[in-house]
Amino acid sequence: MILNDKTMLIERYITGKLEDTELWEFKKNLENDLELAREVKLRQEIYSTISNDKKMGLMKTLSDIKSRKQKRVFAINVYSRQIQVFAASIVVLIIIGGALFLNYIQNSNVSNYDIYTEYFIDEGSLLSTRSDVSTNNSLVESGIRLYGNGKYTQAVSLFDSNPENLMARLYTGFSYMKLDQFEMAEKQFKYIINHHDNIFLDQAEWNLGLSYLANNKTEQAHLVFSKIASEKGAYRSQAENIITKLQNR
Amino acid sequence: MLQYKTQELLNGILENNRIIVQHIYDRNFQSIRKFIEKFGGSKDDALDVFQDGIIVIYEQLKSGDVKQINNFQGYLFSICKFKWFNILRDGKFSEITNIELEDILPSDEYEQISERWGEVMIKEERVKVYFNCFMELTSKCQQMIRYVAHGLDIEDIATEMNFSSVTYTYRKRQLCLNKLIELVKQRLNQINGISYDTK
Repeated sequence: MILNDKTMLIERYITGKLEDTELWEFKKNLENDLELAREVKLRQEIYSTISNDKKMGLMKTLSDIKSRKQKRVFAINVYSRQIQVFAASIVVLIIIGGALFLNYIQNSNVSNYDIYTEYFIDEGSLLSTRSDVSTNNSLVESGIRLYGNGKYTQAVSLFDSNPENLMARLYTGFSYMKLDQFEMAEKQFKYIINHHDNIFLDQAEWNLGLSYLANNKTEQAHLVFSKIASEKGAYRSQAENIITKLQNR
Repeated sequence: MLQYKTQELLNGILENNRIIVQHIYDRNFQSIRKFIEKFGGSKDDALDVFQDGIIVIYEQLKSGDVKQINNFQGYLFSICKFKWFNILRDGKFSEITNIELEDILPSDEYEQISERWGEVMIKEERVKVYFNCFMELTSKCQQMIRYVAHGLDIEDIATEMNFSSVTYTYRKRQLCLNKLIELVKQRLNQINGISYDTK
């Protein structure tokens, strides 16, 4: 209980929720209690690392590259009797269940992110070249041009100045998807969905589902795709395919 | 093969553009690997060093600490050399202590800035531990901790995660956080030079 109280105090201090006397007392304790100071520093560093979405994304990209390039090396003594018996059993198993086994391996290797990349289409680029896209807002139009040129961060800063504009919201979502910042993308699509009656509803739902998927929120993604699959929208068959892929893993 | 300008490569790192990061890997990894293998390391060591090199560049770009880089390839290679020099100097590969470490010191061009690389690398050792431990958690726990780190209130976390009660969310949050902190402390204690006393 004491530990929980202490942990809670640290959490509240780090997130700036301690007030007046509590804060003063905590700071005083920090000066005198080396262990407390170290615990606070550790948690601050961890939170600061994890809340840095861009850097975490970059580290994930690098870690994915590393995993793909790493080769697992097994040192096996092939002359061992036990190993020979074991190997023979494996061969028999593979022959019997070959097709099923291969199918399983194929499906189990598909990550959420793989499915996401398979289904994500850069609709932003498609939309920006369509003649019927006119926003009557020069900042948003400049943002769309920046998006078209792959300058997603700069595009977002222009879209941010028009938070009420649904087109800007949609493109902000696309930009964050391009930047692999799915948390932020979700917010934009949710905003559009909560706005209800608008022409971007289908796209917002579809891309919300994909963002959930890329961000490993499988259950939430499943819910969104199930809704899309139950309606007669443009993304129905794709949503059905994704659901099948998720279920077959 | 696509050619990118140096500025595009740097922006790609800053914005975590997977295509550009992969391109940087494709164009640079083999020379880094060759160098590290020549000086006693393995392919895995080279992969680690490449990762560290990119993160150092990211940190320098973020802090505005990097002046005009004319030769991206040379710059990344020098950082990786410097990183490997530090690993060898710290004696992690005892069988190759006799090699002439001076051979892999950064060139005069990078002598000054390599001090900053060293500072960033020390800091990043800890960050790498936090990242790796975080990635070992379940996706639900990762999500939960992301919300906590972003300062979301428990009620908002419950809503975002579709949890039925705040009490359950609170308990789950504590479990995830405790798991992460425990993993981090264990890992820091295991690594030479980075200690965290769990007492």
